[in-house]
Amino acid sequence: MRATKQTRRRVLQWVGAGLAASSFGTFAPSLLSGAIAIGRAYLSSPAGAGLTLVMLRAGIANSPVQARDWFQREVARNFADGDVVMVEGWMLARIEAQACAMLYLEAEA
Amino acid sequence: MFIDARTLPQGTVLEAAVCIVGAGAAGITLALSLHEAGITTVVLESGDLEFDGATQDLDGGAVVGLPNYPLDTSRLRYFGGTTNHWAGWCRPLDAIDFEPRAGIPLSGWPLRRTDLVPFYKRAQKLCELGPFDYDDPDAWIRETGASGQKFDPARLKTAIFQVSPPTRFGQTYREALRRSEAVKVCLNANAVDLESNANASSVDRVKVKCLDGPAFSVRAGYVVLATGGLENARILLLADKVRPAGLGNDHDRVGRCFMDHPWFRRAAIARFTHPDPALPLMFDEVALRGTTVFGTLAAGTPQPAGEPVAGGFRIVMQRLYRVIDGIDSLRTVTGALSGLSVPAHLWDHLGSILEDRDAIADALYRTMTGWRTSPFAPAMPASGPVTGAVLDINMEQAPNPASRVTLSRKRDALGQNRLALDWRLSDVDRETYLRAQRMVALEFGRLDIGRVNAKPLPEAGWPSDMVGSRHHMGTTRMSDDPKTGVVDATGRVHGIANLYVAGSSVFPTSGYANPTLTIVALALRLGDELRRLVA
Repeated sequence: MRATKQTRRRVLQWVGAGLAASSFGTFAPSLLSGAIAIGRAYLSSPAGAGLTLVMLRAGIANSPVQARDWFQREVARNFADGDVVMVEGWMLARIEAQACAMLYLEAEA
Repeated sequence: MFIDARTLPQGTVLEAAVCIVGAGAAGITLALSLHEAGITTVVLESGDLEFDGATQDLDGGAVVGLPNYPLDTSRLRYFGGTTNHWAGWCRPLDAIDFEPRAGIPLSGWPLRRTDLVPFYKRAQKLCELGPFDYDDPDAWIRETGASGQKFDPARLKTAIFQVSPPTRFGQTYREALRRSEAVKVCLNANAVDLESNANASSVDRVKVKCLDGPAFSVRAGYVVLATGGLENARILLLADKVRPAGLGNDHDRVGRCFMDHPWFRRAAIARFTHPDPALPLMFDEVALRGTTVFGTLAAGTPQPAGEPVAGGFRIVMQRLYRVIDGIDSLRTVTGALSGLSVPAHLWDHLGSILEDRDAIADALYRTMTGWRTSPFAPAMPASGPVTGAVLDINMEQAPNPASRVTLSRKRDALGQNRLALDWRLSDVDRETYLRAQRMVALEFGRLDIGRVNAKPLPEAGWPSDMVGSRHHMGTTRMSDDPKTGVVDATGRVHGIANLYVAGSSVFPTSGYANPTLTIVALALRLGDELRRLVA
């Protein structure tokens, strides 16, 4: 249980850093509520219904800076590959939507 | 010279080598070409030198399919034709527009873009544009001192448009035709029938009526219909004395495959990751190289593998200086409340809604009324950092035989059947719309320009605010095969030795570019052909 909590904290750390570097900050009145709203919508969509928090297994970075860079690269890669999801009209990189889902789940926990 | 046809004696027969019906962009271009060669020509113009309501009413007709502009307001029926109110946006069709494309039935022209380039270059001058340089947008962008985005060329590109003053053909070229000894422009002269020989293999004369005046006729070696994307089909359908279905209509092609450029306003919103992204030429017209240019985003080629088959598109962007969070917040709050829950950060959302109340009222009012404006229009700042953009999609319509014009039972003041326009779009067009949204979202995301929120299509049908572009095309389409087209690659009506059609009605496909430059280029090409034939 403790290991899970630590992992979750680290995940949130880099998700926050990644999202702050993305355009999510402009999506809603606050970074967190906007991302959470997107995450909830994503999880309730067909694309997000089977989500198994793949990011937990994706390799957690040791620092927010590394995490941010990794996140931005993943976002760009998703867009380059056409790996996008549509959440409430927004066309997002899959990793972005997953990150939002993480934040939503954490907020609900 | 100009002749007021109302002054001609009843039953007059005018003779010329060529008779051109219609004096718009195509007809005037052709007349100028024949004037240069000294070829005797009669131009029949329905209207006068200025607008007249009674004549304009002859363009009236019914719109029975998808909503489109009224037929008597989307074109003009006097000397100069629709160039009397065009905006002047010019661009040639892309090379891909001339190619047969898998998955798009009836696509492909019987000529290539390279065949038209010499005529496009001449058309540039007639439309008072700059150099014929549309294929290197980066060169134009460099001249602005900026650098553009490196879009994936299969997904998206910058399409350069040049802006004509706009050239009012009826004014700019009036004097040249007035002085011409070879060309007679008959004003107030309505072509009402094409009288053919017994087997409809040639046209013997054009029958003409004035609204308040005589009936007369024109005998010519060659007859060219240049009356626009709708009227060309109408005249052929009305010429039913020998062929009950109309001339050139042995295979039921005349009037079919009507195309317009569907225009979807606010089809998406982009929110930029950083203010003022580098999108040179996208928001403003700029004076360069002695002309005026602007850019739009447009479909890349070849279409990415694995994507559904779709047509071409352009995306016209307008700046957003303020991101309207209140609408998103309202959606979040109402969504949560309808699920009997309270959204996180409720106070933030309420504050955002309050701050953007003008924009919300504006959006609600326009949604409820279907109008484009409202008394609640928010006072949007007109300067400052650009934080986003409104994206309009204006796109190619795939050829669709079910989209057509027919003769209705109603008649005009000359006793001629009016037209009924049954505009229809197809599944390919839905894919084109979705492709446009997807490509801009992918590229804006990949290049970290921003994120795109796309307006979905209804499950069935089309958004109620979709409009056409008043670009009437395809009703006498060009094809080497008489079973799939009305005219051949020169513009000659299949099976009729001396009858030609000029204008956008001959376009087999429409591309996404405004049609006028191609209309003029094709008219110049036909002019060369007629000069050769008459000589």
